[in-house]
Amino acid sequence: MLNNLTTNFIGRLRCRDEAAWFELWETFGPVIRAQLSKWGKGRIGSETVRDLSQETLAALSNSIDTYDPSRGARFSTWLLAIAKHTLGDEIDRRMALKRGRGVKALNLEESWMYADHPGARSPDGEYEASVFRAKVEAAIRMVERNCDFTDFSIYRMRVLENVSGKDVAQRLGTSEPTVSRRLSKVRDMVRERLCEVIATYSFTEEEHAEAERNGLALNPTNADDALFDEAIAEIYHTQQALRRQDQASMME
Amino acid sequence: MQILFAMLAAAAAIALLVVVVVFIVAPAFKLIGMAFAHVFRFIGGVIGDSLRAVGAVITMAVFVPFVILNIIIGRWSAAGHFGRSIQEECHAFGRSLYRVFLGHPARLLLLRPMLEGVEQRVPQAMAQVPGADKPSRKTGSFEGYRIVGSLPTGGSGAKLYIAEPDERRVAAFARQGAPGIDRVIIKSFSLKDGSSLPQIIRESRALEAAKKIGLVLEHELTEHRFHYVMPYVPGESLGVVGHRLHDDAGAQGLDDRRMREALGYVADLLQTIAVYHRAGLWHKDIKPDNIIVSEGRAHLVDLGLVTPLRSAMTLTTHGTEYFRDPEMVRMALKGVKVHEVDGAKFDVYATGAVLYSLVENQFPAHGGMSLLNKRCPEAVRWIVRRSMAEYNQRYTSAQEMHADLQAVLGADDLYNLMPADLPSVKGGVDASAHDDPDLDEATRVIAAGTPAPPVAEPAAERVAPVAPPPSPRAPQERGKPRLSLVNWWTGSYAPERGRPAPAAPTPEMDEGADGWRPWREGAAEPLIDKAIPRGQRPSAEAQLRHARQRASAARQRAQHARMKARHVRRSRDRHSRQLNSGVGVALFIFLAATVGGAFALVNSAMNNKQAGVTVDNDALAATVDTEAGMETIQTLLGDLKNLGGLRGMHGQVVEALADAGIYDEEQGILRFEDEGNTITVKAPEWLKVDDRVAATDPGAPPAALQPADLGAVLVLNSLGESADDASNAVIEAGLAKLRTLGYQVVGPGGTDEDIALTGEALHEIGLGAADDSATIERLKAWLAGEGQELQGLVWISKDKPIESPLVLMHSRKDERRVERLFRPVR
Repeated sequence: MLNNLTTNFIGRLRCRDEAAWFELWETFGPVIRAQLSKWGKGRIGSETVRDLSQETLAALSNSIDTYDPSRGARFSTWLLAIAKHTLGDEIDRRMALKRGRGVKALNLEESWMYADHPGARSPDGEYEASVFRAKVEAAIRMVERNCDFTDFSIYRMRVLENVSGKDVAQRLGTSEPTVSRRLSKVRDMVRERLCEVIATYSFTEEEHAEAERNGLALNPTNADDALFDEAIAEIYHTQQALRRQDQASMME
Repeated sequence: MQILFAMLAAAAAIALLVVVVVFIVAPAFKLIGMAFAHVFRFIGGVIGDSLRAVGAVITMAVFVPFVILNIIIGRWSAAGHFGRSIQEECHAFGRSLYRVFLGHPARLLLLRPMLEGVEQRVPQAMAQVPGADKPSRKTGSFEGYRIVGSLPTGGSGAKLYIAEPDERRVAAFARQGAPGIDRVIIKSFSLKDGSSLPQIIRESRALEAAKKIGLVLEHELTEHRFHYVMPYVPGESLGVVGHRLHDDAGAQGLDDRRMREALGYVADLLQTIAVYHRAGLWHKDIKPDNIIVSEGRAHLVDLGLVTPLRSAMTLTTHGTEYFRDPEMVRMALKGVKVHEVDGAKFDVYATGAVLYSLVENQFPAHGGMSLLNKRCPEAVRWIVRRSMAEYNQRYTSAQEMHADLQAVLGADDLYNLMPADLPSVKGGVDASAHDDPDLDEATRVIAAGTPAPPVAEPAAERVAPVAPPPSPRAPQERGKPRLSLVNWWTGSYAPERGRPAPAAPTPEMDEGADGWRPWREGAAEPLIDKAIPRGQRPSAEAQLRHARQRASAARQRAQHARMKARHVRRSRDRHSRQLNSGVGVALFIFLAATVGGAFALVNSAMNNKQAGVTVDNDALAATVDTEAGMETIQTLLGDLKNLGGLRGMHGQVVEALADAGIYDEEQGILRFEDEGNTITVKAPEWLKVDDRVAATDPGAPPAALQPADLGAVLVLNSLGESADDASNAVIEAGLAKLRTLGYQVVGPGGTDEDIALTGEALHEIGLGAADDSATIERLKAWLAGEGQELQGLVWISKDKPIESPLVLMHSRKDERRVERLFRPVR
């Protein structure tokens, strides 16, 4: 089932809204780079990985008009297919160069976007997991932007840095109940934004259920809060590790 | 029992065997296999890379004609494209050679770590090499300055020179308030050196303001060049200093002392950028590489992107990734104008990123969400977070951040200070934040171009909560004035009266005593006053027409901008029109091939190689290609006649033609086989004159074929009458050739003088043999003796074959030439 936000985002991409493309790049860039590095198995350097990730988005921009979400494939899977195609093209080109002849770029196979295509069932579970983590990270970033700085600092210290409520209160010169109240406020905001982000970048029912599967109940009871915080913290730290890895490969 | 023992012994033997096989034989085989694999890898690598090198050369050879062709037809971009391909092939060739001669042998000898990364390190070092120490002739010199060095060219492509100003300039700087400047940096953009006009415009945009605060000492714009002069700050970049601090401190992070040092640099930076902001500028490219640490203080350099805060230009995405606020990129992509945002906040973000990189020893890959993993005081964490927070949440000014940092620096124990103790959290900033003596000092210091003493004032004495500086223009004050319906019957509208218009800037607000300028808040013009009273408004139709015109103009502008951007992109991408070193290589190869070809042609002409007949002057031999057609031979004969260089070759040519069955001397005709038919033509008259006869009879040859006088050669014939007829024929033929070549043959049968010369030569020979080196040396000395007029000597001796007599001439070339005369002609 499609929703307005989804189609709006695709619409923005189709209208060549630079902010939408930047958003897409900011959110999924590290994931694509990580995936390309994994596929490259050390045969391609970090610079090439960066180039290929940009070429993936360029290829996406060329074919975004033909993308049809109603065919059922995930957007992320489609993106992965394009990345794979771009990498394959690069490897073909290199092999052709070694053989001393040119090679014509292949056409993008659009059957990837059909739900019944074997590739549409994600070929890489880890990739889908990292896409989901990227969505969560985007939601946290949105909260950081929209939330009061002190409130978010409390959330950051309490949830992401695992500082006790008492210590947070001491550091900020406030009381524990205040910390708890503000934390709850930010947590609610994170849930809201997570809903938005998942709706923005997801197309299928299966994707919508992804949050629940990862321990992020979007309509929780109070008992779920601790689990929710824990899941968010874990995802955040995993994503940070991915960023660090990305950064390290760039500094090589 | 014995059977049991036997079984035990067998089991033990088997166990021993297994142990030996598992722990000795198998590893040994494995080792041998690895050694073989190692060697085969080496061989395979060498073969592969050799083939790659050959392939690169062949590909280059293929591309060269394309480059030349495209240059000839004026397709520069295509020539540049093929040039780049050649460049890549050159690199591939170089890398292949490197691997063949160094990489693979080093790997074979297990010395790979020794050369590891050389391929990257060397080109990197080459790329970072400073430019020329003197400006090129195209750039020209800088009056009043003596260039003493240069710095590596930055991203803008401008040339950076270190220079010493003369006395007049030093005095001028002192009058400007910058005394004691002995060295300066000259940043020069020259249109002739590849800089572009947009670069120059961008760089020059904020220079007047920068000059007022002493960042720029002087600037000048001429027809082809733009340059400005800045104080020179020698030192290391903050990036290098930060890495060193971490190397010294260890993996845990900075200790107390080093943390204070790092925070001190950031405090210096904040002082500097506060000065920029007061002067109505923002730096836009704050990063560790642009901060120089000199004499314990941090100095901000590189004015390449400095922009006026009130600029009407559209915000651009220029800057350095990870130190550039992502929000700025978003705004730039939306087309926001510079004056619509607070650029100072972007500098604050970048300063926070610099602080993060100092604390963590890496750049903030995740913006404000980046984790701080290393040892760091809570208050510093807070400052980093706050400065890198979302645009509306972060510090409103550098002063506010500076106050927090001073509070940290003033604390006895960095780790005891909590965020709650920071001035910005306690409810306000330092009262002196806008009248900060440190900042005033910084202003003075920058203007003077000399380092300021470090600030060591305890923060506790300076912290006093005051109202924070007014935030930039509130969002609700922007946009159109609200209209309300005033007459239901006529439907007329009027601007809402209840909403107060923003106050116009007053002189007090415009610039306070402390230099703070809240003009950004008051800058919004009261839009309500712009409403045109009824009666003066144009008609609705006219408004609609104007609106359509404006929309059309806007569309045209947008289209123009798109085309311009596309053009700029194209010029930057691979299809740029700029020629590159690959084109130079192609031209070099082409020129080399042309010169080589021309040389070969000239050499061929020197040897008188013509179609159909090859005449070798040195060997005095001629060969005829009987397959050549009649026309070719006729042309050749005409050429031969005209060739002055054929001195004495007439006989050989005639002989070769006769041997080939073309020339019948007796009948005086030339006979050719042309497409199966025998064609007979009358031989030209000049061909009938045989200079072989003429040579034996000096009076006979026609003037056209008269050999030149090359001097006398003494011929000694030790064979005498013992020689047979065949030997005599060879000798005679050789002497004839010697004469036709232009030498005068002298010998015992000549004049008295000749006999005397022969006697002297025989005296020198004595009992020596022709292959005796002592004899040869004596003869050489005699030939080279004073008063000797002989050009050379030919000794036909019994010691050597007739075909190769001893020949001694003044020049080695002539010697070889004469030696060949006695060989039978083919």
